[in-house]
Amino acid sequence: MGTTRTIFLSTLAMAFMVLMAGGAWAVCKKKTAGYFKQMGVATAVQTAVGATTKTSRRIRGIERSLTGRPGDPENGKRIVLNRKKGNCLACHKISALNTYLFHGEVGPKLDGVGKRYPESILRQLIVDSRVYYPKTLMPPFYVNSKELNDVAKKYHNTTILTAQEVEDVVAYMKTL
Amino acid sequence: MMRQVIRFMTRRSQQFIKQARGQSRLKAPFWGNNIQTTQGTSVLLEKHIKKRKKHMASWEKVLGGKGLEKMGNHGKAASPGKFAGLVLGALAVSIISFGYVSVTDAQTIRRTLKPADKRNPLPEIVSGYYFANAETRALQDDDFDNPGFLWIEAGEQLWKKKDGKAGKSCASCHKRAKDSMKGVATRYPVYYKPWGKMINLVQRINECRTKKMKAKRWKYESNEMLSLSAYVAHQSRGMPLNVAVDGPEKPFFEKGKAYYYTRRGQFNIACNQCHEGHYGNKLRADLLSQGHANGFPAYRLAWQKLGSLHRRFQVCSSLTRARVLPKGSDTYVNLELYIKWRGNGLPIEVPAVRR
Repeated sequence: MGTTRTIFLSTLAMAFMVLMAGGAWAVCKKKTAGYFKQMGVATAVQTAVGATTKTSRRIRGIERSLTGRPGDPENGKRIVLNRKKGNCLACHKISALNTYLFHGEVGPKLDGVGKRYPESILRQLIVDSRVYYPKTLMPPFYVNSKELNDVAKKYHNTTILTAQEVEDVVAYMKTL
Repeated sequence: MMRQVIRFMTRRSQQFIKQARGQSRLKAPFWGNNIQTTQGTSVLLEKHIKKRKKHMASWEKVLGGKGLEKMGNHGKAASPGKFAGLVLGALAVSIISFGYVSVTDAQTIRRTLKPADKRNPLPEIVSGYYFANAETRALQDDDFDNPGFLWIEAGEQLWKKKDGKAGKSCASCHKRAKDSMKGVATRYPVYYKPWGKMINLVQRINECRTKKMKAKRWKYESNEMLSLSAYVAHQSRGMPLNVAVDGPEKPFFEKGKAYYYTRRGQFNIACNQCHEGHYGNKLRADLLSQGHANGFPAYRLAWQKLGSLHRRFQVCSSLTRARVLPKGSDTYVNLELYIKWRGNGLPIEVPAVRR
């Protein structure tokens, strides 16, 4: 009798935890900022349940540097401006780069982005922002084109930015 | 008293702004103030003038010198005498220009339309014309300045030109294009029974050439094809796009729609993400349009040339680093059908001028 009750209770608890995690995820899907409010709860639940790599990635981003070396913000700025590399100004406004004309309006402003998000989230946003915003039109800058649909032959088996370039851009974002 | 007046006026103006915004999702200063006299554009214009001269020289070969005197020199009549020539010329200029002006005046293009079809995902339909710079719009407005008319006039010559083993021209069956081709471009692409799939205007012209005229087919992006297809489409200028999608076209329509909404390329972007979600926003210096097809074949300043809709598709594909398909491929024709359906109701503007 006692054993069945404990099993029943534990399954209930598990279900509750899963629901909580799901709820937190639903809230966070809308805005990453909202995500952080729930992050404490969510991580606690996830560690209790046994987090999958995918969900933990959603919450914490990519904590480790892709190359193990720190990024160079100056080179990062160059990549941000380069139309064939980052081309960030096509969609985002960066007030620090006001000397360059015509900033895009498609994405959010990047002013103060380094203070809004921790480094790990910034890295994840650049590598593949679909993790946070499934409907985003931001290109996944560090996803092998093998995993993407209908890519031109010229770009087969490549990424838009190299690992070090991603690190450089992250370093530049932290200065904003 | 003054305070009250000022308060009233500010309130009133705010109301106006709200009203304006209520009608359109686009930002308030969008229509009037997007004049960008950038250096880039003026350089493009200078290039265009040079290219226009070259272009006229190249046409001399194709048409054997016929009709070239008219090209680009509207209204300059041959002068029998010095004085009489001047008078006649002035008269001709005034008459022809009056005619053109009245045409453009009559051709009222409304800014936004509500889609007639409930399935259309767009809340409002706006022609690409309103997303262009004031400079570019001015080029399109004036038929004398509009460089697309070089191709239209060449197309008029090609319409009459006999070609192929059958010894026929377009005119020998279809007579006057003004009557027979009126409204044709609003329907295309249509379902073509012999092929069992969709056919667009360019392919239809080539079908006519090979089957009826026994002539060689023209390449999709050749000057001849651009001219004739633009000339045919021009006959429907001002008429609303009206593409049918519910008959045998349905499976092709669905394919086009699937293409439109699928992410592709290394940038992993689908058409709808820019042209449905972000029209009216700037992508660097360009305003994102709704991506309608009512102006094609259109003169693009970036190309310095008239170009087909499929060429424009290829540009979009390569910008997202996606696989570029050949012009006239089934996928692009299906996409053309879907895009034209999205713009159903928009007046045809061929030859439109775009950046």
